[in-house]
Formats: sequence, C-alpha cells, structure tokens
Amino acid sequence: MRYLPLTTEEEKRILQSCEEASFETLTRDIPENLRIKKLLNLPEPLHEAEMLEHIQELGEKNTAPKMCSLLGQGAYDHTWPAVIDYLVTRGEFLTAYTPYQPEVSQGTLQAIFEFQSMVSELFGMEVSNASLYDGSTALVEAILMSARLQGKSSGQVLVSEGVYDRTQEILKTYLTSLGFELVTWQASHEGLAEEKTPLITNPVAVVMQSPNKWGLVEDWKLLKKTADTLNTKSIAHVSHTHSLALFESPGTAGIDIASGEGQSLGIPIGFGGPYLGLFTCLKKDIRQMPGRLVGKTVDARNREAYCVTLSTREQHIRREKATSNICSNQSLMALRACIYMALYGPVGIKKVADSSRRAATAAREIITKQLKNAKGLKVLNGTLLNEFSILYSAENERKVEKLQAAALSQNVILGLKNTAPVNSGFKGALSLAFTERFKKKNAESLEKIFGELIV
Amino acid sequence: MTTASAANSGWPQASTLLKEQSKKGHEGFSLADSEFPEAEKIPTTLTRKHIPGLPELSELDVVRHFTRLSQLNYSIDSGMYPLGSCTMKYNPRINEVTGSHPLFARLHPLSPDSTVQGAMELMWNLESLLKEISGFERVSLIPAAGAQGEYTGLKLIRAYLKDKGIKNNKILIPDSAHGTNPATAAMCGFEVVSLKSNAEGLLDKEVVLKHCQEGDVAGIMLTNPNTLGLFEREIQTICEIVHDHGALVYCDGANMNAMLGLTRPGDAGVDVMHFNQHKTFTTPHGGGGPGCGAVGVCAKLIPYLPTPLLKKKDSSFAWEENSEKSIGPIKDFHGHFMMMLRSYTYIRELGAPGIQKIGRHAILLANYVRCRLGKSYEVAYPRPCMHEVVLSDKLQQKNKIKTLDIAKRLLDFGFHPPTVYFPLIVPGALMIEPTETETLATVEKFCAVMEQIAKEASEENAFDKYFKNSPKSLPFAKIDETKAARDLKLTWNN
Amino acid sequence: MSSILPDRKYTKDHEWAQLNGKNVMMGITDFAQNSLGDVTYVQLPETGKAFTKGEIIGTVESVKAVSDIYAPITGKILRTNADVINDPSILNQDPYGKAWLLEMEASDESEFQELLEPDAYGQHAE
Repeated sequence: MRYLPLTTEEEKRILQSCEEASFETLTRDIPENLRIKKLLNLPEPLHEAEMLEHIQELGEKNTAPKMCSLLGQGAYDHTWPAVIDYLVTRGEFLTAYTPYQPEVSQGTLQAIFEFQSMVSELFGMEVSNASLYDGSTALVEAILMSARLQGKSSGQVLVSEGVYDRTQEILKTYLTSLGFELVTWQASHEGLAEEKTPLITNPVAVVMQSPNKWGLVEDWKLLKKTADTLNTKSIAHVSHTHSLALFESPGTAGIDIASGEGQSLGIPIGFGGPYLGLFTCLKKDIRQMPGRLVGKTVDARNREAYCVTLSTREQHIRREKATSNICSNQSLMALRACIYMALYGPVGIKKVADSSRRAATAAREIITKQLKNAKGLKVLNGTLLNEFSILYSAENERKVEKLQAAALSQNVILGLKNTAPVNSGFKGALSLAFTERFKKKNAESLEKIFGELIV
Repeated sequence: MTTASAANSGWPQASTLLKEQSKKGHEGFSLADSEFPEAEKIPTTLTRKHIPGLPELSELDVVRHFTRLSQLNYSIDSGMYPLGSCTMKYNPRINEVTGSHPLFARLHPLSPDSTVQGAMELMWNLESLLKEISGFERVSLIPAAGAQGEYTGLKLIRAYLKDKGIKNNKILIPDSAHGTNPATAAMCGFEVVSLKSNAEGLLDKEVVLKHCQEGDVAGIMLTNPNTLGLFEREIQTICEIVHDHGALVYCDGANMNAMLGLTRPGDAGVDVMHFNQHKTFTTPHGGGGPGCGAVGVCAKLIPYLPTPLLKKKDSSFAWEENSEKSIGPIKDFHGHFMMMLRSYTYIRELGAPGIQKIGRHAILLANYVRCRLGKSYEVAYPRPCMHEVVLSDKLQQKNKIKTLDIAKRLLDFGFHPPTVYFPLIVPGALMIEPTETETLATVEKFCAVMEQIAKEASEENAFDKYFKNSPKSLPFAKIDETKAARDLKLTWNN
Repeated sequence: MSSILPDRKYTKDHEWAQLNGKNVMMGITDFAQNSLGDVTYVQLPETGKAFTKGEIIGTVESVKAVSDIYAPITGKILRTNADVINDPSILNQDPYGKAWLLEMEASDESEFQELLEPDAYGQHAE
C-alpha cells in the first residue's frame, strides 16, 4: 500500500531488534478483551481513479453549483485568483508544522507577520494575532479578553441586535455558563443600533457588528460612545473584511478590540469551512490577547528573522491559566488571505467591495420598485455593503417562502430567512447577498421572479 | 546607487517584506468592471478616510515572494518530521484534489438541504467511518480543531451531569497531559485537579479512586496512549471507577493513530473523545492549522451534541437545528468541511485492510527507535511503547549538552527535531514519533544521526566543538527569541 | 552553581526577602532567574495594594516559562522597581541587587522571622 511502506520482512527485523516474539507481545499493554480481532466493517478500499470517480459522483448530487446563490450571513462567494491555490498547495507551506522551530520555519513565520501587518492596516488597529477559528469564536475570545482586561469574571455584555443570530447563539454557548449575561442592545425599526445607551449594571463589554445581520453598515463611533458612557470596553465585530476598504475602520473610532471574519479574503465558502477568525487590539493590552503571535527579531548573524512570541500567554505553557485553550491558528487560511491582500492591494480590495456594493444596490432598487405597492413588505434602506434585507409581516411569511421555492425552481437560491428588528413590528426578514459574480443577467431574472409573484 | 547582491538570484533565500517591494500602480488581480451603475454615495461619517497601507505588487512579484518564503520552511514533503504527539505523517496529494473539488468548494453552508445532498452524504459517510473505527455511537464533525473538540466534549459532560442534577465541578487531568486539557477545563469553568503519573508513567487506578471518593468529580480527561507513548493498561478499570462515582471519561484523541485497527476507545468505556483529523486522518498541518476536530460520543451523550446535527431520513439528509438538550452551536456553520473531504478520501482509499495496518506500523517503527536509541540516550520509561517514545538528555547533561542543543544540532544533519521539553514530567524530554508513512530506511538514517550526536555530546569540549553555533548549515542561524519578546515588533509599523 | 547570600531570608518559591528598617524588600533568587532563563517580562502589583502571605503578587516570564511571584509576608506594597520593568534583563544579571522587585510594609513582623535561613534555602534549592 502506497502510504504504508513497512514490509513483512522489516516487521520481523524490528521485532528481533527489540527482542520481542511477536507484535502481540510488544503491545502487551493492550488488554486482550479490547483488541480488535477481525477486519473493521468499512467499505472496500478504493484506488485513486475510483476515489476520484466516487467524489465526482457525490459532487454531482449537489445541485447548488448550477444555481445563482444569494446567500450571505457571514459567508460570501467572492472570486479568488488561481495563484492562491497554486501557492498554498506548495508542500513547504501545506505540510509544515506549527513554526515552533523558527530556524526552519521562516517562510510560515514571515507570512504570518505580513498577515498580522496587513490585517492591522485594514482594521486600523495596532496589532493582530495570527488568526483564530472563525468570526464568531473570535468574538467570543474578544469578550473574554475584555473581561480579563477589567479583572471581571462575571457581568453583562451588551450585544447589538444586529449581530448574526447564529453568532449570538454561539456567544451564549461559551459565555452564559461562565457567569456572563448577554443583554441585547436593541436596534431601531430601521435596523441600526439605537443612539440611546441602554443601562446595564456590571458591564463587561459592548459589542457591535458591521455590516450587521441585515446587511447595514453601523457607525463605530456610536459603539465607542456607548462603551465610554458605560465605562467599559468596546468590541467591533467586522462581519465582512472588504467593508474596511470603503467604510471607517474600528481603529479610527478608537475601539479597544476588533474581531472579524476573513473568509472573503480569498477563501472559498466550501460548505462552511475552514474560514478565518481575525483578532486585533491595542498594543498595551497584548498580554491578554488570545492566540498565536509572530514577532520580528534577528538571527545569530544579525539578519532580520521572525519567531512565535509571547507564548507564555498560551495553553502549552500557562495551562489552566492561559488566555485561551486554542492551540492552532488557521495558518493556511491566513496564508490565503495574506496572498490575496498582496495581490489585490488597496485598489483591488476596494474594487471588489465596490462591485459587490453596486450589485447589491442595483438589486435593492429593483426589488424596492417591485414591492412599491406590496403591503407588509418593506426593504430596509440604510447604507449597505453587499447584503440587504426585506422585512415581512406575519401574513406575508407564506408568501416569502413561496417566493423562495419558486426562485429555487428557477435555479436561484433566494437568500436566507432572518429575524426582523424587534422594534420594527415585522415578523421576519429575507436577507439577500451579492458579490462581484452577480451580473446584469442575474439581476434580470431576479426582477422576473419578484415581478411574477408579488403583484 | 545599486548594490549588487544575491537579491535577484533564484536560490533559496530570504525575501524582503511585501511592503518594501510595493510600487504604486502595480496590481496582481484580474477583475471585470461592474456592469452596474455607481452606487449611492457613502455618508461622510461612515466613509473610510485613510487608504489601508496594503502593498501594490504584480502577480509575479507575489509568486516569487511566496515561493521564496516557502523554500525557507521544513515540511513533511521535504523530510522526516519526528515530532512526538503531532503525527506528522504524509499528507497524500490526492486529498488536495478532492479537498478543493469545484462541486464542493462553492457550496454555501446555509444552502437549502435539497441542493447540497452530496456534501451532506459525504459528512454522513465520514461519520459512519469514524464510528466504526472508534466504537462510538455518534460523531459530531463540527469542532474546528482538537482544542475545540475538547471544549465540546467537556460541555457535553457538563450538560449531561446538569441534566441528571449533578453539580460536580472537578476535572481530573494527569500531569502528563497536553496543555490544552487544563486550559479547556478552565474555559468550561471546571476546577482542574492534576493527577500524578506513577513510576511506570501510567495513570494509577488507586489515585483515580482516591480523588473520586473525595467527591465533586465531574470527569477525567485522559490521553490514550498517553503523552509518554504508553498505553493506559488500566483504562477499563479507570473508566469503571469514574462511572461508579457518577462522573464521565473524556479521552484526548491526539494519539489515536496508535490505536487504529488495534483497539477502539469506545469499547474501553470512554464516553467522549475528540479526533484530530489533521493528525490521524492526514488533513494538512498547514503551518499551524486549520485543524479538523470531531467528537465521538457514547449513546447517553447524543442528546447534548452541538447543533446542527445531521439526520438521515430514508435516503436524504437534513440538518436539525433545534434540539432541546443540545449544548448549542460551538462555531460558525458545521465544521471544516473542505478538510473532511480530505480525511474521507484518505480513509476510503485505505479501507479496513489499510487502516488496520496504521497502528501496527507506527508502533513497530517507534519501538525500533526506542530499542536502538536506548543504547545512546536515556529512555524515560523503559518499556515497550506505542506510536512514540520519550528520550531525555540525562546522559548528555553530564557533559552539559541539553535537549535544545541536540534539537538544534539535528537541524545541521537535515532532520527536524523531535518534540522537546514535553511532556513536562520528563526533564529534558525528546519525544519521537516516526509515523507509519516513513520507510524503515529513513528511520534508520534518523537514528544514525541521533547516535552521531550522542557521540559528539560525549566528547571533551563537546559544546564548543559541535553545538555552540548550531544550526550552521541553514539559511538562518539561531534565532533570538528573547529579543522578540523583550522588544515586541508585531507588524510592519510597530 | 547559583549563589545564595547570607544577609537575607528566603521562601520555598525561590524569593528572597530582606529587612529595610521595618519594611521588607523582596526579589527572586539567583536559582530562580537561572531556571527561568532570559527574563523577558516582569509584572508587579500597584503600590498601595495589600496582600496576604502566599498570594500571587506578580509574574516573571522568559521565552518559554512563566513563574508567579508570591507575597513572602502579609502587607501593603510601598514601591516597586521600575528599572526591572523597563529592562527585565537586569534580573538575570543582578537578582539580589539592582533587580529587587518591590518593598512591602510588614503587618506582622514575626512572619519575616519565619522565612527560610540561607542554609535551609540552599538545601531546598539543590
């Protein structure tokens, strides 16, 4: 077998060299009754060609690849250049371990250092770590860090209603059992965080997401003001990294910690992962930062070099007192993002953001026109990046579902059902997302779908 | 002034920072102009005023930069990587073909179930394979990595006990455990109790019993084989003791490679275990991630599994989002699917005949190292090992040569060092895991180099003569990690 | 061989303590700095804060290890050594002198007397 080179002859030689009679005596620590004595019940082995056919067959059972998908909510089907796939599959990157031996890991280390630098630039923040699992868990870590910075082990976290429902559920999983209470910072009926500061007693952090779950761009300055009023830390959660090419960065607004999802930076949506959790903060708070960090230094011949640094925050040294239990980073995904940012630069990233925004704006205009006379359906109108939402009343829920079904039969996946702002009086929302892949011909079929069904 | 240097040479070398190579007007992307009219103007309060300081480069600039960087890395593709507990085995190339397959790469995770049946079937199939291999009743593929698998597992224990009205709050963890174990227990709000390994390097059932009798024990977190590469002989009795006291057993599956085809943790009484698919089932390490976890559970923990849970009805698949007793979602969407494609490919290609040789070959090669290097190094626990063996620098210390010196000297001979100074209970540990994908000839070469280093270490003035400036033959000399920590430079700008 | 000075007392956690009038100066021992390796970071408590004997009052870090500092006696922090925070490397050069860590006001003088004598510490640190 191609991945199992040891021959029977060699097996014997090894046993002899260890003065063992058999493999069974060598492994005598495994209790007899726990030994597997027959062949496991697994499907027959497949040779390479058969394997590729099998995957192709499974793939063909997916009908989605033939469709025009308007799904978003934290995963966006942007284009990525072929050169990324080519570079990250170089074995030297793909099959390297965590760079604990810096002398033989300078490639990975410098790439992470450049990644940290570029993420810091985009976020306008002083420092970035080497990445975390995904956007939502990065936000969990941001809140835990905020608590540590204030020496709090319990208290209230004010979370804006515009944080994805899924992310809010994930926050609950991690934080409520530790003694933190999540309090909703309600949105206006227009889908943006309310100006008025809600009162909470023992604040741990204030969290705002932008673009928010309805696709609207929030103002970080309001987040900063609210956190200041409550005398606690501000956490900005950037749901779509390309938004930072057009909209104000968290750093400029004086935010304490900013987390985000970096999937749009050259990472395929790939049915959910792996993605890229981004994490940035101020340099003065670095010792409470979770996750791996790479720093610049020199080698013994005084040449610029890089290594993992401040490891004393991490689990392998500080164990139960570590800043997080995280052991890996999403290194290969960070590398993808690093190459993407290097290729696109400020101009390319802005162009992708702008093209996506133009597509979403055009679609919003079409639908707004179609819904002009529809009762119980309202398009949310704030500043958008590439996603927007249509609010619907309870009576219209069936209609929206029918619309989605009809669209599906015409090979259009018509967005995702979402919750509506509590203050809006609507039952739910339909959120539609767009990227630079969306063309005029797609806009025409969208117009047709809405035109036929909503009159 | 132009300085002539090796900067334009194609040989492996350092590459200056992207920022320094940037030139205004260069671009490395190919993007069509939008067909849609300009969007409404962004309100001034929301507009970004400063252009982010990203570099501008041509595509070839970028290709050369990252090609050069890659050449500064050691990797499995370039040589043996004997890192104990990391299972650095070959990552088959076919995985990269299936793991980027266009019929999966652009599937949105929230697509209607009916449009992604192939992807869901693959996840169902992979779960079935892992269940059969490990003896668990269900496997959640969601966890992003081993540490998140641990988190999920401990949350399941917490949820199960809470449901039964038990408020116990202590987690027993052997002193040989990976750092993630105590860190995870703390993240779940548990109190960590460290268990001392016995003279043989194993968990002692009496010690476990004593702690269980003291009360308040929610569970035990053990690693099998443990980080000394030894199989926990008393695993069944330990599971019984823990269960008798109303607590549950968590197994860290980091060392699952050793058990493949030989024994199943589910059969031994383990309640919950995470898989490191990036170790055992060959998804790439990628320079530190992404990992790919998965959590296997016994029947009684199924109701608590994280959402979404995959369901099969007749021959179609659906996600179940709401489950009354579930611990809830633990990350975005449903796991690192593109990594699952890779591990699925690996397991299906090998099938039972291949899978069942993995543990055997890994164990044989590790024992070869133990028996051969046991003559020139101290073996921390001299007994047959499983997939890895822990040596120490005890003999070399007599001549003032430390583990770190040995590690750096190995680099001179072209081998990546083993895991060093772990587990913490062995002073100066050198933890070696050859893995089954290496040929015996390669492992023999590694041993010969280790013997050579031991010989050097025994000579007079050994340090100055051989070790002082190692590594010597690499593009980079010893890197000043102290300076990095004292004088923090974490980005281009600060 | 690490050095132990006769003019002060010690704790089992490798700290030294010395009377300065009625107050107590403290730092870490030569043995401690030696086993940590190159010190990269020192964190000390705010002045004015009070601690009980054995409580964690700070940390000392090297690249690959971190070690907590415990209060050798009960009392209030009077002052801390800014030099050692600005340049942690002095802890490796002069742990008993320039790199003292802090001065405490002793609330119970007998606590100081209970600390280890140099000989006893020497045996402990072997």
